[in-house]
Amino acid sequence: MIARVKQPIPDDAAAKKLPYRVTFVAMISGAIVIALLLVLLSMYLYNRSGAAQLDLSLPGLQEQRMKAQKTERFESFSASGPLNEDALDQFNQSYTGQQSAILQDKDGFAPDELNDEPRNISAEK
Amino acid sequence: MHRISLVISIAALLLSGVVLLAHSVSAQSGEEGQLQPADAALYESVTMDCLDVKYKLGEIHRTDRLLRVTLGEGYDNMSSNLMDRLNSRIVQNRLDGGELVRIASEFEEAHATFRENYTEYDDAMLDLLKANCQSRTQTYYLELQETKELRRVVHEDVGTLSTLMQRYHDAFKDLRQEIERSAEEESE
Repeated sequence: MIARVKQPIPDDAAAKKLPYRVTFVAMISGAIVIALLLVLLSMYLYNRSGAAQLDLSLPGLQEQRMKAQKTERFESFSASGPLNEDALDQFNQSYTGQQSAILQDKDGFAPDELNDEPRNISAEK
Repeated sequence: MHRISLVISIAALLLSGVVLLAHSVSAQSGEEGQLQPADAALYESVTMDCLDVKYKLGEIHRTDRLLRVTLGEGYDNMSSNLMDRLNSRIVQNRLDGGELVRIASEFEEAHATFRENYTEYDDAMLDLLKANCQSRTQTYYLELQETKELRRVVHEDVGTLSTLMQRYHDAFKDLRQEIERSAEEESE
């Protein structure tokens, strides 16, 4: 039977090896920093991609959220099949319906809404 | 050992703090806008009820958000569920739909421009809502004028998209007449 003799670690190698607790703390701190950087990156992408402008889940937008949920389902047009009279009629109906729904907001974002008079602003040059 | 772990923790916290500070500073510098100090002298006196102005801007911002969602959904339906699908059918049936494809492509480009311009306008509006109006009234007023200009651009984009939708419909009607004419010729 061969006896296993535990090899002693040389003094300089033991000194180089970081204690377990230090490694653990460094790992946790590193994870926190990486998580923070990822959160900042995702917030940047959320704001830059245009998703923030479509997000109605903010507390101040509850009324708008309710209105947005009331929109009717849209009947789309099939991408395959013959282009006969029935298909053309169906497309025309869907198209005009969608167009008239959009045109209801054709005056949207009118710049006059930011005019000085309704805001009670006066400016002299 | 305790000292090393303490140093590492403090370093991590400091780094996090620096990152957060850099983020808030960049947000604040965006809030200040691109106005030069000399611009504030453009107007000798500007008077406004800051609370009232901000309240009304908040209302407009909320209405705009809903409009952006509604219009965005409508434009997406128009492009993906109608124009692209009809164009696909035209190709499948080997018909000449060059004009329709061209208009659909223009529509897609105009939609992308609308999205970009709205994001820019929305950012400016948010900056106005966050900015301190009372201590820097003149600069605030100039920023308001800039935001109004950005809103005008978005309004023009909506008009462009409406025109393109009408052009597509006109082109569709022409194609339909052509299909019906050729069907009549075949039956004769």
